[in-house]
Amino acid sequence: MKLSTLVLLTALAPSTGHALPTLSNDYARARAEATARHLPLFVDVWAPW
Amino acid sequence: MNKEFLTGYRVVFTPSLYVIDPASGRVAASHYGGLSLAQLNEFLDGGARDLGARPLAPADSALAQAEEALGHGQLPEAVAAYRRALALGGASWPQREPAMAELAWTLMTSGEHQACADLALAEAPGMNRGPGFARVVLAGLLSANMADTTAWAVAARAKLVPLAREATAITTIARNDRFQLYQELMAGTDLAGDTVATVQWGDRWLAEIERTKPANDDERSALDIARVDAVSMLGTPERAIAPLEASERAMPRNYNACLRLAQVLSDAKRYDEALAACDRGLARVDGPLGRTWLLETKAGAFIGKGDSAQARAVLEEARRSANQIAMASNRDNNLRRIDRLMAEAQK
Repeated sequence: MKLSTLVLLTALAPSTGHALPTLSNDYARARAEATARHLPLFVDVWAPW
Repeated sequence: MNKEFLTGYRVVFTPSLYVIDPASGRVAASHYGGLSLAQLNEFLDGGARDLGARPLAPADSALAQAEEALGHGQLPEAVAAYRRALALGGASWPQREPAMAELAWTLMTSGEHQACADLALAEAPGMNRGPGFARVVLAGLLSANMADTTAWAVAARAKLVPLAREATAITTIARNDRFQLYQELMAGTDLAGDTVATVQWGDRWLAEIERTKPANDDERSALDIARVDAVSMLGTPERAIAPLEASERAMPRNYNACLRLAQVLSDAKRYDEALAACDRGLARVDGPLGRTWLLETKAGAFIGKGDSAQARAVLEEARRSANQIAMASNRDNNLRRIDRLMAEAQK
């Protein structure tokens, strides 16, 4: 099971034209980083089947 | 890997998407299934709305409760809250169609198949022909197909198949939803005895898979998985062998192509080649779920060869691996599959 987390929800403007950086399989770090920056967390739980 | 999140949020479906308040851990938005980019933007906006300072209208508040319950795997509570939100919001509520789709998927995931099909029959014909309509129809048809040939399912399918056909033409739906529509149209027409239509839907699905050029390994794996589903339902495993061999070469560190190749080789009764593909996958795999799948496939190939002793030994290994799977529904499904294979290996 894979977990991708995205901290910078506010950076999701499609006009940026860049792939957004994600943290893979490290929820604790993503949550700590988002808490410190007062930003919501986007989590994608997926599996390659 | 990720066990704390999967158990803490009681994840029951993949893919599942969440917007979470990191300070409290509260789920502000949740969703089962894939999303197009436009749907993803709406989903994120919904999460941001929920976390915003403004008080929510009653229907939006009920929707937030539904999504929070869904995000914690509390499916009956989510169903009740979605129904409450829809009743409060009324016909003109902007969130009506997305909420209807989430309700349908939650019913389907809960195993409330007749309720899901009934919802689709009642609501889908009057919905706008967009992503919400497609998801409601998909959940309803999948639920009817799960109930096989019971009377209510046969009657529901007769009305849902034409709606699903209509949904495949909607250009704004996520590819994952369209692929699942093809799959359920194949299953639905097969259950209705319309084998010509089943083959037509399968060919259309495979043609779309073959037209799609994957941008990365994850997309290649997703397409391969769909390819295996399509050829399995068509009963033509040979059609997927060459593309899967190409995927294995293209992704030398990824177990996925080995697993899918092993499945189609086994279906084609090329058991020795299937066993070799499983062993190549086992050398690449890094988690209990993939390992379990590879071991189950390997055991199936041994059963196909008539080597029950080897099959049983591999299944014992598969059981140890399955017990390490964090997501309860996956763990239980695999343990049940291992029990079935073990029963076959003991005949």
